[in-house]
Amino acid sequence: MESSDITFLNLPYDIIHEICDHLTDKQILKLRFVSKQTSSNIPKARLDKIFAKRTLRFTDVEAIRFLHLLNTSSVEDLARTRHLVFDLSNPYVGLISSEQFHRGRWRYSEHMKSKMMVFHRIYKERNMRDMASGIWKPRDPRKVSIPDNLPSGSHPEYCFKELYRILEEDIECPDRYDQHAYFSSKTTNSLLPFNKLAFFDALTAVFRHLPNLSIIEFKISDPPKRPEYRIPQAWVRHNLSLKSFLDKHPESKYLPCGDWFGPLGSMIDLEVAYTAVLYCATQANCRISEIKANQFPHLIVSSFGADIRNFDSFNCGTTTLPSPGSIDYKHLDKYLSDYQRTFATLKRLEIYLARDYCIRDHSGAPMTPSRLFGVTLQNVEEFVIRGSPKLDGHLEPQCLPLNIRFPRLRRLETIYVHMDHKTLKSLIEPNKSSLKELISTFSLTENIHYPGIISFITDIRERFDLTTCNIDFLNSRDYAYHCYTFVEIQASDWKSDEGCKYRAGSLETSGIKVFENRMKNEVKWKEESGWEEFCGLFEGDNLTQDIGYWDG
Amino acid sequence: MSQIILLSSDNVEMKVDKEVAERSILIKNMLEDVGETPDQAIPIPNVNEGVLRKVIEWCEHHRNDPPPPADEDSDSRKKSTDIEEWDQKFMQVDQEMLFEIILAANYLDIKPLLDVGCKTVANMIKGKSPEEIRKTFNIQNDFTPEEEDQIRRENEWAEE
Repeated sequence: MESSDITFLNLPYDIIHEICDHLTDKQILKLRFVSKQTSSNIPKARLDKIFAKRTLRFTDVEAIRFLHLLNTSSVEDLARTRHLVFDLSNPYVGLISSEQFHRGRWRYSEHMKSKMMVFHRIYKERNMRDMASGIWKPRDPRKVSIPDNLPSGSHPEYCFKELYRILEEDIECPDRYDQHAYFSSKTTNSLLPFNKLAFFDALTAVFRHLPNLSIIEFKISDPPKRPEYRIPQAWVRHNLSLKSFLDKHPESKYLPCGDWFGPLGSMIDLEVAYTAVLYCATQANCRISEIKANQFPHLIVSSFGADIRNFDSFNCGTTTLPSPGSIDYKHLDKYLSDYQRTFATLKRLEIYLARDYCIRDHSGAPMTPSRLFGVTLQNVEEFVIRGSPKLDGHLEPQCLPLNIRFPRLRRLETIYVHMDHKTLKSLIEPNKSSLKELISTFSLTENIHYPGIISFITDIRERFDLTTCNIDFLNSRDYAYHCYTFVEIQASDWKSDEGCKYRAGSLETSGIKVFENRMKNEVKWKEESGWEEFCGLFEGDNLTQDIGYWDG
Repeated sequence: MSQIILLSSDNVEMKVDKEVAERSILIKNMLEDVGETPDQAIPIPNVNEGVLRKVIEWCEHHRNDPPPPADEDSDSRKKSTDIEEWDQKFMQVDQEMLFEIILAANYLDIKPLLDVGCKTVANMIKGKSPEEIRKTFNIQNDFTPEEEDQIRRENEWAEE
């Protein structure tokens, strides 16, 4: 082009938009800080998309500060938010123990160790300078003025020890985190490590501010990952001394700081979070179309998970929410109508049912799913039930919505839900008029062999009108090995065998591998397009990988 | 092989293989409209000699590349910032030239070159703090501390 003064700022909008297409959401958010013009050049549609989804953590400061932001936001900004993510991980973190810190030093490359040494040198120079000019006062001046006879640049071990001392000295326990209060609240069966009343009242107010909110999601965020081990923003927000350390020493962003901090105390229970958040949504007159719960690490504690029998007892103990087990059933009709209204347009619901007492029922919980849960699911079209591969044994049938009809249920997916064949049938039987897709992934924990598999699938073929039927059958299981048969059927008209694609395969795997999704990539599939031929796959040892583990 | 002449905005003529020039959809369509290889120079009024030479250099190198995929908005194309080694070296120019190449690619409708240019700028932004981005592009921070604080608060819940 002719002009000689082309800069980043005066590039045409369409070029800026092209550049933004190559940037992540985080980078776009950083661009907002650069200048007013840079900020105004960012495509509105991109910002709308970024701000459509907000993540909240379960701390009183978080909900109240978010509410404060909403109070000062424009109507247009408020209308952007469609998706609220509730991250259950505890953002209050503290420095790991000295033993853990020193044990972990082997994992860092020489390059990283040299960065640590550079950081150490800059840190010392800066602090000595700041201390001399009175800008900075250490908590213990003797520690800062330790005579440094060893040149830190040539002694990584010494530098590593110094680094821990620096972190210990500079980073305190988060201001708002009272560990004593947390533990005493745990003993009184109050499950939140903070002011519950403040959080759930603020949350209900937050919901009221968001007219277009339609998706609620629950997740546990992953800890910082290699190679960066970057500190999540939420940790910084909840620990002022960590924030000022990072601000004062910008070089620290090149260090694996995320690896050196761990949560103080445990996270909120999904049981509390799930039921209470849904309750708050009903009190704020929201219209929810999707509830997601699919980002939980496989190996979280066995006491984690929701229990659909306990939807009536919110376990929150606030002025607006009943205390554990103390729901006033006089008002049940009012609650039912609130749930009916809020979830009238709910199309997809995911729930994680991995609590250990769903397996061994010691909870004294009601014997059937809560009526509020039933109403939540009234119009659901896709229902996903997740469990954990970690648990052993069958899920108590009363923990599942068995023998309940959801008139619009089109797709049912069970993932690691520990159940027997009869339970799966009781789950789908009332919904046979609407159900089109059944996907059961590693959920059947009852051994079944080839004749049984064919008879099970024949029954489903005759009595249901499915277009997708994917079922993982367990053939045998012991400590060392699991043997599975996988069946995947796609059909436009299964009964008349039209437009059908059948495939089946088997896999024998060591117990631990069953937790890995990639395991299915190792299956040797056999495909057929006709029902008779598909049944023929199960004759003899057509599918068998190692006959030693099959007795069907 | 037939050749055509391109005339830069500063009136410099450049002979180019027709096949190379047709990497530009603008020129390709122009030639199709004319119906035969023109004897006269095709004016490229928005692009000066230096930039046009760079653009032709790029088109020469990529003359045998397959046409870009039909699905131009594919996520993979947009999210990736990988650039071939030759293109990386080609784009090692001063910022003004970089932006001029991008504008020329946009004007001449050479999507793959535009893509490489935009990816190069995106890579100059990646991993940098706002202050570093300002330094890179020589931008003045005109936010007040209160305005910065407001943006920070707005970003907080979207950053996860």
